[in-house]
Amino acid sequence: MDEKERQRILESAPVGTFALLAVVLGSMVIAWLFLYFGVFIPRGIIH
Amino acid sequence: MQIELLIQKCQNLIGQAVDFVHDFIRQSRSVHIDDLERKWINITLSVIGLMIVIIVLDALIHNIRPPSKVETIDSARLHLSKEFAESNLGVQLDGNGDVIVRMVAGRYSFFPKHIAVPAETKLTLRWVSMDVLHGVHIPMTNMSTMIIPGYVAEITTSFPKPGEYPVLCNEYCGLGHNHMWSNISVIAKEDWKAPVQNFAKKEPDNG
Repeated sequence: MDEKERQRILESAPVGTFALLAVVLGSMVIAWLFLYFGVFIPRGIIH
Repeated sequence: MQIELLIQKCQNLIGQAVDFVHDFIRQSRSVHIDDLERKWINITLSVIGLMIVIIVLDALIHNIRPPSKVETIDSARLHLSKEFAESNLGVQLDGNGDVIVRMVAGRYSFFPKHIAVPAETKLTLRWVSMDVLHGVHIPMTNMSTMIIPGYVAEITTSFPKPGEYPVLCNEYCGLGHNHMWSNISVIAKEDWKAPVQNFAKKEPDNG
């Protein structure tokens, strides 16, 4: 790897990190929505 | 006079809280936050905010609210009360045709020990304690509340699925707490038969 490519990698956005972040956060949001609307609400609404 | 003092104290507290928030924002702006950290913080706070917004909107749409009525009762004289005398406990229909369930919690069971209610029907469950602090939870449903001596705990909900459910105590009440339970049968709406029983209305607030 030459110096130019190394600099390019260092200065570019961390795409891989963002992709991992999106997958993990997206999974957490989907799981939360499933538990709230699929399990909690169908068990009966409290008044 | 006391209310004026209370209002004064609340105003002072709100003022202190506002000053605290202003100081916090000013100090956090003086701290360097990397762009990536800022993005991460914004995304995380957005996700939390989204969840809070969903919960609030759903509560407004479905009229979900925690019980907030304060209704007192003399826990030492339940057997002498009209509403929670032993002969009046269990499942009944009120004057409007709504299903009301009256239960007494006492060490170490819930009385009556077995009740049958219809599924997919609005139920009003009224719980009282005859001795100490209890909690009641019906697993696989959202029926869960504290039963505090001296107060009537009222929950309005419906049980969507027919089946046999335990009624458990989830607040430590003594050495027999782990054995404190009873049963509830949730029967399909079309198969459930309303009990033929005279009902006693709610008593006026004893507090």
